[in-house]
Amino acid sequence: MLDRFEARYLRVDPRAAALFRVALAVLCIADTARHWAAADLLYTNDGVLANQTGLIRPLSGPSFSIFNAFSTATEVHVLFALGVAVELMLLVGYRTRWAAVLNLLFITSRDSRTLFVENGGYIVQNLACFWACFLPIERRFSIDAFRASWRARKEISIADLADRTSDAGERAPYVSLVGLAAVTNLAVVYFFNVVNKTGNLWRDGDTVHYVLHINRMVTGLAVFVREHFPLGLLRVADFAVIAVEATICVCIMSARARFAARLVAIGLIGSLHLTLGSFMRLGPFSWFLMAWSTLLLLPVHFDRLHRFYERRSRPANVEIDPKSPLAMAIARIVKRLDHRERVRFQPAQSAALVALRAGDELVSEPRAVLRGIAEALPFGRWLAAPLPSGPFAWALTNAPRLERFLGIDLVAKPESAAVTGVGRRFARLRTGLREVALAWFILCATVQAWMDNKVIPATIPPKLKDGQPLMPDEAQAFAFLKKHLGDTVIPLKPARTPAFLTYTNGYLRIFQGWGMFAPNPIQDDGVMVVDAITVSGRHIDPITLRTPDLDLTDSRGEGLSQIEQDLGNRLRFDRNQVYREGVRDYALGHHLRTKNPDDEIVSVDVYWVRCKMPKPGQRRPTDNDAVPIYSWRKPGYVPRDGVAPLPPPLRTRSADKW
Amino acid sequence: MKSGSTSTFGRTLRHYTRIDARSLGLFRIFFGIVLLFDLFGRMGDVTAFYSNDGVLPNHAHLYYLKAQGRFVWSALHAFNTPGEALVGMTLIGFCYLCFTIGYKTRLFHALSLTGLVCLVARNLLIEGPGEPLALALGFVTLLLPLGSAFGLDAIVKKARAMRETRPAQLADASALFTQGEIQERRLPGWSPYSLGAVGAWALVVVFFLSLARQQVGPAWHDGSAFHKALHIHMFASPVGFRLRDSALLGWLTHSVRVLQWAIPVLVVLPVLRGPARGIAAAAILFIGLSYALLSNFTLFGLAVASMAPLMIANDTWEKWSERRDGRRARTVIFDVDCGICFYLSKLLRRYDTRDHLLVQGNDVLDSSDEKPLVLRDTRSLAPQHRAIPAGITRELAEQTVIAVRPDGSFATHGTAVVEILRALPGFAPLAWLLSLPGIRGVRDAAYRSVSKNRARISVEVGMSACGIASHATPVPLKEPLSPFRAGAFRALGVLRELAAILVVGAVLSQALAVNAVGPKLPQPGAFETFSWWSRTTGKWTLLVPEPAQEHGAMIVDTSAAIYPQSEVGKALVAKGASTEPRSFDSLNGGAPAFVLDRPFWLGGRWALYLDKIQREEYRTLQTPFKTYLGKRGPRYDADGRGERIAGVDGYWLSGPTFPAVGEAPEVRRLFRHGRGGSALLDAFAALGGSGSAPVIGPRPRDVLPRGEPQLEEYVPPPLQSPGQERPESQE
Repeated sequence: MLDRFEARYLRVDPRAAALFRVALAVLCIADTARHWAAADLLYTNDGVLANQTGLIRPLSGPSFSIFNAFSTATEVHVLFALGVAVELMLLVGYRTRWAAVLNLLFITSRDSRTLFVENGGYIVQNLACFWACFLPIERRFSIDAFRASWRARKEISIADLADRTSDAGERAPYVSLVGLAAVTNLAVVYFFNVVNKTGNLWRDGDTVHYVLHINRMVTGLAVFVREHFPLGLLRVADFAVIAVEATICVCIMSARARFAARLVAIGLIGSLHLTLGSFMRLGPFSWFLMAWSTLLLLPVHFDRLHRFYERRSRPANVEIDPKSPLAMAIARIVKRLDHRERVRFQPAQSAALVALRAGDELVSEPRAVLRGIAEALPFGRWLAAPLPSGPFAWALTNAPRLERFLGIDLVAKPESAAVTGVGRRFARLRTGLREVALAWFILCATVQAWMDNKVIPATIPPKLKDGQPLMPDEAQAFAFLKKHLGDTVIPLKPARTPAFLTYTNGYLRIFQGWGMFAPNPIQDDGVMVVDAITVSGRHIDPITLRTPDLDLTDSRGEGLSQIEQDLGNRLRFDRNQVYREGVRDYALGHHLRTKNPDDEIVSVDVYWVRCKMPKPGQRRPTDNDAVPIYSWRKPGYVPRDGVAPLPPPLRTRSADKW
Repeated sequence: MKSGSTSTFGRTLRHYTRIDARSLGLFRIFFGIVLLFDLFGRMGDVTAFYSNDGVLPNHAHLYYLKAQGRFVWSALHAFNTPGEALVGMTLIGFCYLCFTIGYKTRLFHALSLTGLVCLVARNLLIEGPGEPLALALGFVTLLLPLGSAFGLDAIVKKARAMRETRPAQLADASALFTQGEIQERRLPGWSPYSLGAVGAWALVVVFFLSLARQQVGPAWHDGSAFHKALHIHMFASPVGFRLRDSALLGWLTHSVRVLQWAIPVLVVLPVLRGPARGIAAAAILFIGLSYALLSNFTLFGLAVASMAPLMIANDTWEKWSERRDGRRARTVIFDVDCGICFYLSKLLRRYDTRDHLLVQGNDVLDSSDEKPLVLRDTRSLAPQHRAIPAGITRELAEQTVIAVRPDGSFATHGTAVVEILRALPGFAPLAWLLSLPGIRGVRDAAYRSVSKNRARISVEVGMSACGIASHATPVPLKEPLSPFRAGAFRALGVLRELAAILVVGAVLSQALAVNAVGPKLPQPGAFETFSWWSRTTGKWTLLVPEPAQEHGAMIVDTSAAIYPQSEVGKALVAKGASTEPRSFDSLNGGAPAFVLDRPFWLGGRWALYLDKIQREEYRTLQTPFKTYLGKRGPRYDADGRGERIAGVDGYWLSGPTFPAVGEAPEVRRLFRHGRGGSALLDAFAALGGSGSAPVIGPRPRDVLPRGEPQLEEYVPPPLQSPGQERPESQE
């Protein structure tokens, strides 16, 4: 039984882990580029949240951000450049383990620096990067794997090239608790996303309608859908979302029919999040979950893929001059890229250093040889297409010179020392420590999921707010509990988050509260608009660089980035009013950024512009309300000739409630 | 320039562009220990100076820097709590330790310097004269091969070049690389000469000239400088305070003054280089240790002292490494079946530059020769064949290493190890340590344990044991190197020297700009930027032009009482402790008193901080200090003692270092926190104290770039998923 459990839940296929690494790194680079573009707004001392302000008024409990040590724009740009370098290392698999750990530090630091823009997507990203630190992401498709193989063995004859046994180690499955943790965590995301959706709008099927009317978040595609699709279809989509999420969860954890179940899960995750990602600007949420789903691939999937690939690809018989060091070096590279053994090496029958044998025909023209070899390698057809064959031809023509210059030879490599007893013990110790750490993190994640999800009430029976209406089934449940428990209250959650969770999950920001648009989606829309007046009398929003628009009822999508919309959505709350001065400070630097003295800001009014979303069946939002939440005028300012005087400062109001 | 150049010009140039690898190795160890010592000191003050519970929270420092118009960079700005800061410091300590032991030396040298920059830049109020000096020293030596001797990297390098594959080869001199072969093995781009060496010499010269040219006051001429300096309350260390009236101080003042002029001359002297440099090294050590011992600026003194090894000339090292002593000659008999014994024997040969040791396997005891054992002659150290001394048996040699003395007597077990170590240059202190009573027993027990398990250990670490084949393979004289790689190494060499130009240029031009040495060097923007971010901007001056004649002290009158509601307080009350308020000085834990004539125990960082914080220019940073004193002190923690502070009065006491008879010091009350202190009110009134209007207090709003928010408890918002509706309770 234990063996079955291990085989099903603890094994990670190194190819799946490597694919996960590549997907993760690509998304991390894209996400870093997105934040880098907003570096001046968010991460420098001249941005909306200067590091000293964030330090004196932390937006969260214990947190750590190395970004707090970087103040000026130059410093912050250097840090972003370092972050991209680390992510590139992760992408190509160079010093992969270090890159994964440094990437986690970078990503979580960036998140902790400005929690205004954090949402569940950032947590997904943090979690994916966190589990990546424990996964065997370097074993395949990486420079590290290539280098290890290159160093371990030097083929100096055709017989050496034919021997593929040396690759067996890197193909071996990886057994660790991380296999269980990373896959189960993905299922947990969908599980709680289903069970937390307890609101009446989900039950009535109106959620998709409301979600598509959040102008703050939606893309043009969502606007098209809401304007052209009938309400009935949107209601079907509403229930379909819940069904899809539930199916994903079941498929991920299914112990039977895993081949099909996992493929279904990957397919549904892809479809769901591709739709969500193209309809809403939610930041990293959709894309990182899609990347995470690559971990669901099983060895059998890769084997099927390989069989498919073997049917499609053309094997290559490559003739190699075994006396040519350069030809042997090329063969060594090809061998390491040819995991499916589609390339067979033979001693050269001609004068060509490298040639292709197709039946009786011998192809030695460099371009054709290169193409023939590439077509036998996985994805080689596409990867080799843009490569010019000129350098390859030049290398073959100038082989002796190149061999001398690069020091390529056919001298046998001395046998490397076997792993010593101390080495083995150290490796065992390292593995043991890793698994103990993982056990701890799994425990913390479990407790965190228990604490964070609203569907698990703090007590039984749950506490109700004054006048809180109950659905009939909820009322029945309360009556049942009252009958059996009387006045007894059973606590399910501690009053305070345990310290060990705060320090383990808090610093890394790996929480487990999952409830996309749950229990209900929002029904009122809103955006932050900064109405700044320049010294030349022009009105501008220094954050979006648009003319301020205080009417949201005619909106067909605001086109705001996730950073801009979440920043406004957090700053509107009264508890964050102390941070609004940061918006003013950022606005005051507008003319320095545009390098135009006429853009100097003399007045700043910050509004939370909100409206009620249209009810199902209606089209236009109602009750537009521009709530002034911050107002500032430059002291002693005298307008230029021809420029209108500044209006008096606005009286600010709370934007927390309608 | 070839290393073997014998022309006068070549020799002279070599003299200034090269520092012996052993000097650099010794410097690395000295400097690393100084850094570690400094770090431990800072760790003691981690709460006060590096955390948000201390006198300068990170946000307050960043506010201050913004107001000043220029930031400094320190990773420690990202650390908030004392625990976090301690983690950061531990990481820095790890880098220091690796640097000191010479593990991946260049990498950890760079990381150590980054760590020191972080420590310095986190709190500019405690940046003294020692920090810029230590940083300058670290930066100019960054591009020198500090790991080539006396370190793990050097040992590994030596071990990889061991050519003996059989015990019989241990007597074969050809197994050791000759100087010529060593040169041949060097990688392209390697050169013993570097602009970094020029930079190091120049730094030493500029530093001592700077001190000598600026310490020109009458006190330096009449020999009273140290006497006067040690009467400055916060300057003198507790040792200095005790010695402040010693007659030796006059001699010390004159010596230091003369030596500070002499050292630059000795460094640049083109003749008698070995002795001149040796004298310079001794003088530097003397001056540095004097400052470190007598003053509170320990880092300054120790950084000066760590320059001393750089002065040791190549000739001196050669003489030292070849200084032979026949009494220390030993023949080592080891177990040939033991892999680690063979390995260590090979290593011994490489460290035995004095030819004191001969190594033979215990198979010599099976020899049919009449005189199979080779011993060195006590006088000539020439090898002589002898018969096996009585008592040395095959059984004994199976159990232990044997060190046979020239007279035929021998030592075994731990004692043999000590005698072998004593024969090696530089290992005598370790041998002495292992001979100390108490340690001797541990040494012998450890030896017995290793000896008993040597076969197993050998196998465990992949070496031969009892006939199992070793993995030792012949080491080629030179690994083949392709033109491509050779070119890459050469390019790296050029890059290294270009980097040396930037670093040395930046450090020296800054040093000449801020220290009155003489002509200023042009300081391009890149140099100025480098100096600023590397914190090599400060002056090195100390006691210039002569010791100050006024001094001051911070007196903190704290009134606190046991807080019975706290856990600790409850326990204390239960034990019968009084809940009556008590008065004390939370800076030193003693009774508060307006007294300047007492030792200052808090060290240089507190001396710098207290001296600065009472000044008007640091007004914006005074509030956190008051907050800090309202909760704790450098040697006092109210919560830990179950107490609550009722009030604090802060006074600044100042006056001449040598007051006239009956002259009382001037006292100012700087601030009152809470109910204030109670012990010094009468004394303050009696002294006619001023300062009813507190210097430290609410800061005028127009002083700051913007209002600094007050600290308050913040309730973190709950995490939201995208689009998630906020619970009504938070709306």
